Amino acid sequence: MSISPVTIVCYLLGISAVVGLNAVILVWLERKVAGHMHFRYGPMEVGPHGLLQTLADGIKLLGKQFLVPDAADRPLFLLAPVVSLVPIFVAMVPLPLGETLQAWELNIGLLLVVALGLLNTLGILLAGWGSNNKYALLGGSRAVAQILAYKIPLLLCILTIIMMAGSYSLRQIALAQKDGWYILYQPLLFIIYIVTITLETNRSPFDFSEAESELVAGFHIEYSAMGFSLFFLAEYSYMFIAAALASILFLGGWQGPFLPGPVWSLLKLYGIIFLLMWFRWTFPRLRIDQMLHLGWKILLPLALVNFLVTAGVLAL
Amino acid sequence: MNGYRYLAGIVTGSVSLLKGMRVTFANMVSRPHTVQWPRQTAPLPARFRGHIRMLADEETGFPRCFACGSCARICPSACITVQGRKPGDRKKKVAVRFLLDFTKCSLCGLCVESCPARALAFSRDYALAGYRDTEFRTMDLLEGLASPFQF
Amino acid sequence: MFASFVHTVYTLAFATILLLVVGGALLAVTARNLIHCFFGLVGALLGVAGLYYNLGSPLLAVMQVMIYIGAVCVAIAFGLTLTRKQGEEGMRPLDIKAAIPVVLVVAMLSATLKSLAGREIVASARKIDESRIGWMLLGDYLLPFELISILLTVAVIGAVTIALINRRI
Ligand code: SF4
Ligand code: SF4
Repeated sequence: MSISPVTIVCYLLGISAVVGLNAVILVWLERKVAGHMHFRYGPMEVGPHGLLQTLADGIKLLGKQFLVPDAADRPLFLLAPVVSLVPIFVAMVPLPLGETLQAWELNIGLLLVVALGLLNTLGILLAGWGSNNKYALLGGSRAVAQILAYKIPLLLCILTIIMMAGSYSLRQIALAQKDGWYILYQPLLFIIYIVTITLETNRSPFDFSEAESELVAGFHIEYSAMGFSLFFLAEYSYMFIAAALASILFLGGWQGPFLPGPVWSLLKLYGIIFLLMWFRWTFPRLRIDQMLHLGWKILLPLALVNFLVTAGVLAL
Repeated sequence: MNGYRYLAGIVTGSVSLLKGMRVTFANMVSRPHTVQWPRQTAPLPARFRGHIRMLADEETGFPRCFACGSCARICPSACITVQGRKPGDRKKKVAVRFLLDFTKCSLCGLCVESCPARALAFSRDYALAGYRDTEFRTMDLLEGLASPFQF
Repeated sequence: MFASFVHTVYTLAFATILLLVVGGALLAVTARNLIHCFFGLVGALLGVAGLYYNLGSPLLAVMQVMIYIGAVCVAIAFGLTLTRKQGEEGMRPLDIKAAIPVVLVVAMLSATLKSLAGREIVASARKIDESRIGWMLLGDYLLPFELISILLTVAVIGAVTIALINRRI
């Protein structure tokens, strides 16, 4: 299993390109979707239909000053955006986006991606605590309460899929759906999974740690310039990863008729991301106790029953 | 019974969520209401009230105002300053100075209604901008109109 | 030349892992700020995951991240965010009881080292099939596995009971 450093550097460059481009496109798409759902246009001025708006915003952010508050816990404050972003580079490694488009086929790929996805909360907690700001701290502690509510249903979903496919490898799981996507067998599980990834990516109606109407900006309230952009990058990259995982687990990954694999991958992936955006601009934010109720009393039992029934059916 | 309520709650909840999503999707595919100003302009309503303007006499091209001062008196905000002079060959005076303090005008329209000469009307200017308030403190409404007095 | 470069990179990576484990552990026990202790612990556990990977078991490494960081540390963090005085209480001076774990650890370490002394240590490059671990846990080692589960359950019930007793008083 020796990989030459050159390959590693190439992978890193490729993944950085995906992370950057994805964020540029998603921020634009989000603003467009939001706009049109409000009978507006969204950005229109920079580039055709505002396509270059995110780039312009990014350059603006680059030119701004990165401030560290005096009372902040300096090492934690500086570490937080990095902790949010770094796991992404690892989590993207085993994602297969095409028949041959995969950085590294790993037999425990699914576990790796899920485990690293959970690290995002640590970044939020670090930021919340390091900022020494009451809103940030509240945002951080909410993120922790949130992860406790969705983690178990999420793992149960994944466990069910692993049981059906008989493998942890994302590639094998996708290949196992050659004759029928798992969404056809497991529609309920798909819905549970989509809800949990909405929770995982901290998006409305579950954006408790950001909650601009309650906590101003939540955990990243003290971050300016590049610190803020790194959180933004991380947020949209986690969306990418979560949606890619959903497309692989339930929609057969890159497989589909006529079009080449990567195109199918991206279509499914961005379809799911659109679904998440649709949620965000439709549903108002829940109260935190409603979220806990949803996680523990609805998602968990449903996922558990679904898991047991699937196990029973598979055993027959 | 409780179990039934629990399941029914999930189902009705999901249905109502789907209804909400249908609404926003319909919004998304319908035409945006935004008017992309300044590339597009929305049609102004017929009775739109911009700042008042002075009308010209059709024959002479002079201001129709004969400086009776009725508008200046009735204006609740004392926005109007008017002065007139009698040209040699005519009986009526003609305004030589008509200043509007648009910073105080409430667009009430009393001046327009009170004018015996029907010399005032609302303009349709809305894109007004300036660097200092003085530009709107003394707007010269006679600008661009002919005058019987050649200085 | 190239091989030596790769070697350097791997050595550096290993050094980073060691630094993470030792530094994190030291931070966890010496830092005066609770949250610094917490992140020291996270670093140490992350480093241990790196060690597992280095020993040829990516599965164990990922499980380490998922369970220890994703679950245990998050549970600790949940408790931390609910504490009243966030790390402002200074540490109490060490009393004699602190010597007990030190003695125990030293004894265990020396015993381990002694048993290893004189043996040749060979890195095992043999890849273990993950499914074999599963079969072992549900076959030969079923009894210990279940006993541990019971232990955990008892611990959880005990914790809940203690919390309830305190609440009533
Ligand atoms: S519209 Fe009203 S406030 Fe404005 S100048 Fe005429 S009378 Fe005065
Ligand atoms: S009321 Fe009419 S005529 Fe009289 S001063 Fe005003 S604008 Fe001139």
